Amino acid sequence: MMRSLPLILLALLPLPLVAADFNRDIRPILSDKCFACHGFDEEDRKADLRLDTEEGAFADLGGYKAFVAGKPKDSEAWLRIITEDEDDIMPPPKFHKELTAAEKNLIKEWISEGAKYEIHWAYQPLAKPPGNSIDAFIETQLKKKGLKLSPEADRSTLVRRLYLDLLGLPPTPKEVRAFVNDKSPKAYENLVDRLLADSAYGERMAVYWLDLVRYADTIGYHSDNLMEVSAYRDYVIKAFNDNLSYKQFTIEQLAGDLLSKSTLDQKIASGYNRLLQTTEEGGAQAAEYMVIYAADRVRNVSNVWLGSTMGCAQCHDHKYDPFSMRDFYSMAAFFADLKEKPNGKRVPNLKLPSAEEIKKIAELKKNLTEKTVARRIAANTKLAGNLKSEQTKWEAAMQEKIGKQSSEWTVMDPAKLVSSGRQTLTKQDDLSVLASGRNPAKDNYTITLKGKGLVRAIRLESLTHGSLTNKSSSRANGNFILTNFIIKQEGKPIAVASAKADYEQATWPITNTLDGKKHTGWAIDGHSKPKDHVAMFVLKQPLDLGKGGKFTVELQHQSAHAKHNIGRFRLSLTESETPTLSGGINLSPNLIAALKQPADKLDAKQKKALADYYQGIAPLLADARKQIEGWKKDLKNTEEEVQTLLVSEAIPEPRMTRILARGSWLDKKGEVVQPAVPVFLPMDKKDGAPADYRATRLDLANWIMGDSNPLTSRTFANRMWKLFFGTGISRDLTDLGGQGKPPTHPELLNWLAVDFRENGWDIKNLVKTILMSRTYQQVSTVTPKLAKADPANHLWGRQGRWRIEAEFVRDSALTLGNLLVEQQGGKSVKPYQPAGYWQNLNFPKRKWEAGKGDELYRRGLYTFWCRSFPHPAMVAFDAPSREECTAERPRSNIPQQALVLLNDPVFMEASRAFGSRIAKEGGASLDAKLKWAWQSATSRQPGGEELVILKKLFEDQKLRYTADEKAAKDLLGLADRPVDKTEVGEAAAWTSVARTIFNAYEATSRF
Amino acid sequence: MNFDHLINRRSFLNQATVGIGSLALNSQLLAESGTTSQWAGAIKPHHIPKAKRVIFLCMAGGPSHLETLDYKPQLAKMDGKPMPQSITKGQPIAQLQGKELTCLGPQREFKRYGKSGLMMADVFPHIGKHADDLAIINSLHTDQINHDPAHTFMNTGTQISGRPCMGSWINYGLGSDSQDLPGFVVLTSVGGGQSQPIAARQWHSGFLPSRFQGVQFHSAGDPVLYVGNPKGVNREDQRSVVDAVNSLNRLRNKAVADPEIDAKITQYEMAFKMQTSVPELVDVSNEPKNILDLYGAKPGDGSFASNCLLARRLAERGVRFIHLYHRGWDHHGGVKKGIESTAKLVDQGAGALLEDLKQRGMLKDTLVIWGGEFGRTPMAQGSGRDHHIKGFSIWMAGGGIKGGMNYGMTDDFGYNAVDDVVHVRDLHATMLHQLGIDHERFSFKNQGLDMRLTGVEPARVVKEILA
Repeated sequence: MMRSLPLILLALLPLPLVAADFNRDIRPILSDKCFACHGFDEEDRKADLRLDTEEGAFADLGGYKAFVAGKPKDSEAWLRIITEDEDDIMPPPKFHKELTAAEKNLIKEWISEGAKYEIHWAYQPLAKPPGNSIDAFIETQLKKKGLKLSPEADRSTLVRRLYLDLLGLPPTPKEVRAFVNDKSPKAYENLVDRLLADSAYGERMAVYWLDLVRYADTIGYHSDNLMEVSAYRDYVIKAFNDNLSYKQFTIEQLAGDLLSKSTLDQKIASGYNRLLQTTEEGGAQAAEYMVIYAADRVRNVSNVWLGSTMGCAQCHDHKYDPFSMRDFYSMAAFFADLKEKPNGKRVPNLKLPSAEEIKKIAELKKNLTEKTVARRIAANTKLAGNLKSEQTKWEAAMQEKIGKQSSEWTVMDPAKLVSSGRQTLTKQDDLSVLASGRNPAKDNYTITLKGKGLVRAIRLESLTHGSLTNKSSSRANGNFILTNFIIKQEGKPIAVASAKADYEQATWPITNTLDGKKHTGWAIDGHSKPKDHVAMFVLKQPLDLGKGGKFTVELQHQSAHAKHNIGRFRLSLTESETPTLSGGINLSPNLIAALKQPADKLDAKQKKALADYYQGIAPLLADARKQIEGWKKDLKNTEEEVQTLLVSEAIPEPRMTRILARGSWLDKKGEVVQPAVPVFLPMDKKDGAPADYRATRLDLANWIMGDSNPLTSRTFANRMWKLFFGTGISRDLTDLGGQGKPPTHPELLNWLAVDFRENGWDIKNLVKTILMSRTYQQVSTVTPKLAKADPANHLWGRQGRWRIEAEFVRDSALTLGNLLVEQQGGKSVKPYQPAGYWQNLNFPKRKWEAGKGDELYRRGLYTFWCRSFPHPAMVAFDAPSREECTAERPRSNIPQQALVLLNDPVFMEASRAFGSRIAKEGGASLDAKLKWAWQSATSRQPGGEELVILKKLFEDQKLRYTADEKAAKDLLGLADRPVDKTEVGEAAAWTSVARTIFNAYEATSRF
Repeated sequence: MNFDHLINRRSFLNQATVGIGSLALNSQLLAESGTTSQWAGAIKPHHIPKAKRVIFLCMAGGPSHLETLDYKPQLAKMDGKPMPQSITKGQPIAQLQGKELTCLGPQREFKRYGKSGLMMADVFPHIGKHADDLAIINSLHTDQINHDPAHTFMNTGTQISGRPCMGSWINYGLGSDSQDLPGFVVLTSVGGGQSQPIAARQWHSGFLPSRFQGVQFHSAGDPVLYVGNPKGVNREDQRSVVDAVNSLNRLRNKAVADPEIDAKITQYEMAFKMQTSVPELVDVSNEPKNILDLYGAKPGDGSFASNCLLARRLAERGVRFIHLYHRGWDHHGGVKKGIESTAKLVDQGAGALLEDLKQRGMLKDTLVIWGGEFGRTPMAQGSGRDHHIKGFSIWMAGGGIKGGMNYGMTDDFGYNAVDDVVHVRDLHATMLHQLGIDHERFSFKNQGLDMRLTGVEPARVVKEILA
């Protein structure tokens, strides 16, 4: 490649030392400075010139050309770059895209050398370059700079590196020793194999994958409520552990539900399509959110699998890569078959009971069908007899009571029901009224009641019903708002003196129903506590209906909280002067009617009603009822405990997808598109498909994993390299396109990508290939020579080094404290979190309730991920909010990290536990203990000076805490327990030592 | 030998980027290069700044401009009459979707304030005292009609998640003068009306390094998360541990020469300082009674007034961007009363902040902005108003803003901004301009693009409101 350069050029510039390479040197400049106006986007193209294609660059522009091979002075583009005429100069000054001298010279040199164009590197077909090892590619380039690979790291560094890279956990001193002392020539390879087979490997890999697919436990927008997707997380862990091929992994996530005879795991995998952010915000516009969701999916799928920024083509053709708007919307159309509501709670559509739960549910259901009250009575003649005589006694008692209390509440049979919002109001057997049908934002129910005599008060019962939201008494979210309660006779309002209710939601008292206002009302927390409730309204003057009269009651629902309509209610009247909420005989009118009749006049229906009712209250059956209630409760709890999941479900008629001008959801005129992959990328032929065949998500997945797709394996191989070296071969992990970074080792990337594909997309094999390289096993320390020659480590003349991920910071501390619970998978858990951190969430307001027992000590990846407020200790260490695809977390170094490690209760707990382990397990002498402690945390023996620091700290702290017993007990969380002064002093000092070691940079970093 | 000088930040960055065709910084390089806790800023000001800092009083929920800053006598005459379809047809609409649209006349009296005679509602007696310092923009409009995306839009200039908010941008660009406090602080309060949620994404640094994210101060518990020592650990203990940690880190660094470790040592010192400076900052017991009375603040009550007082203290200590949220302006119903009760919680604190800054000579270089994520419909939603994005109002003061003026206007209904229209992007451009930043030249490479707070659509500095 070296060719002679004009001496003058070489003298002027430090760079380039090798000939200008189009993809490495020139395309990035053209892309950044020129393509916005002279690129792929037709609409914004200026002067009808495009420089992103060879054809455009050499087109005749009317006697002149942008580029003339070998002749900068004849190349209009070059002349426009170097002109001093402000009107002509390119790029125009207003874009603030000035070319540097070095860039100009590169362009000039490139033109002089023939102005050779190449397809953008990432879009070139994949071909395996000659070569058979990572090291060869790396060494070739190092050699050019007079460099070579750094020495191999020592074994304790290597074992720690492997544990952290593959498991996200530090090795124990014993594991370090085993490897250090392993004499086998295959010791390293054996260790790699062992760790790849460790189930913690799947958890470690999942941490990265979950960032890519923006996995979280909450919906993201506005109320940011829970969504059930944790089973998807477990699928990912399992897939990595089982070494599912990347191809299968991809197909199952994008289209697991579409596979014929899809397995449970495949259905779970399809939860991928449900991970996006969604909303429950009242007033969110359906059409707008469907567009937001579609775009979210295109951004994610293109970034996760293709390393492409297709999201840029939502409003205009991509400026830097050949993605058109049509490509964008055609990609969106693949997902138009997903069953989805624009707004509202995401209801899980897959249940995942454990074997244990299945068994328990079956048993409970069996009990509930086989051991009913009726069956027990039928099977036990003695019981039946006793019951019968008890019922007779009860009936007599009730008859007497009815005779005395005729003036208490009488349940009314509504004569007429009108819903202003055209709901269907249906009278039930117990004279309650059930609302159904459409549910308008606001509604007034007008109930006409006919009766006689005096009415002194009216009782309103709000009653739950199975047909209503969450079996509540409301048609909204479980809650209702009764804004006003109006009584009228012949159109004239009847005044109410007072109102009372058995329950009032904070700031929503029953008296609000008398104030005539629409923004106040009575509410009952039905969204969180669906229950029956009762209210009564005492009239100022008794209403005299004489021998027969009528009046109306109006239940108004006029709140801004839309649809908060009562779902079932019942009205009763009384002439009592001292009515009580719970007064009267709470029997339905037909039972009362039955009781009033002589026993021999009762028909079969009435007899059964009485017997049924009595069996519900009979003391003789109390135990049976209690048992049945217990089973029911148990069943309900068990069913609620069952893990559920949002998964993909295809609708038969996919939604129509249009190209939206400027991406605006209000545009209704754009062309309708069908699912299709980006036009410029090759598509393997699909044989025999009918002309009107609509491509599916499965076709998309197969295309992504198809042999002719150049992006998928490059993207993945580049990211795997990043996991084990700290940065990618192409530095921009999110964008392999024109504005990304050309790979430092294009041939190596191609080699890895092809090797990965040829090996059946075997992820563990790819990982092992990387780990077995000599390049991986180098030291990470920088020599002055390397620092000067290659400060950013572009040539990989040394390993990378970095602070470990947020999750692994936590996992490491828990491991050292021996607190880590190794359970894999399950619902997300809530470790300690500062109180009030969620105070700015609403709808509903909620508190973080820390979990119990084991839940406090799970690995970081199981921590409940709230997109609006991710766990603050994780945020401090750069855990993303998982709103968008994150291919690379930043690695910040901020004071919050120190505050977390020093003061977060979980790290304090781990310090205490680790401190006590040091004292117990560390050995006999102080030195031995300190050495053990340091080695546990850093995997290496401490140096003499390090020991001195720790020893001094221990001695000082021991003195201090022995003298201050209270402080020692506070530190150890011993409260008022009696203790031995010296013992606690020492234990506290060990806690301080443990804290110090956790905070040492080495304990949370990988070298 | 320590050869840090070879890989210090500047030379590292320069060498790192040469040869791959770009001199722009990216987050990875920045994160790798945090050798000092003091961030001097990524850019030098493009011109002489008028403002050193910003205090943004975010009225979360969307205050009705028609009951606060936008006087619409014509709308009163339309009260109860149908809203002309010609105006509303095809426009985005939130909870009033599919409803009959009827005008609701202004529910508050308006009066003239100050020598300039600015018209504002009767609910702002304290803010009104400073009318001659306020520039009221009546022609703002935004793209997002629901709370959460509208906040995101107001803060980041786009509805897409994961972009940096303005506070982060400004800290990244200019750094902060504070030695022992974060450069971007967020405080929240609540009350007076329906309180919509606010997510931490509103102060997230997006693709900018995490060090530029806003740090939330809390009124209960630790004022900054984890800033308090654990039980049984006093300041000396903490000092001993931090000293030991830093000694261990220094030893390690002798062996490996890792700039990250240098940064770590600085960060531990910063964290230790914050453990004193933060409690000191929030302890207002040394404020004289007349100041507490001016704000109407009861120390530690978490009220907007207390937050305003803290904002002044933060400003004094060099914090660059101070963002207060008051959650309570979502008046879908009962706007008349609602505006009064929310304003009551906000007016005195905001007025006192202006007064206090002025008497300390700080208003001239502190840009104060008051406004919500959107306005409200001229159409009734019962006795309230729905979300509205086509025209709403905010005010700005200090930091080189001309006082006693209105800028731009809406139509007679208060629906569309019709004159001197100001988009959220223009607001951002203006804010940056006052801080000495040309918004077109202030970008950050992400996903291959030169990202800007003001995005790719044209944005302009609203020069007409500048003193």
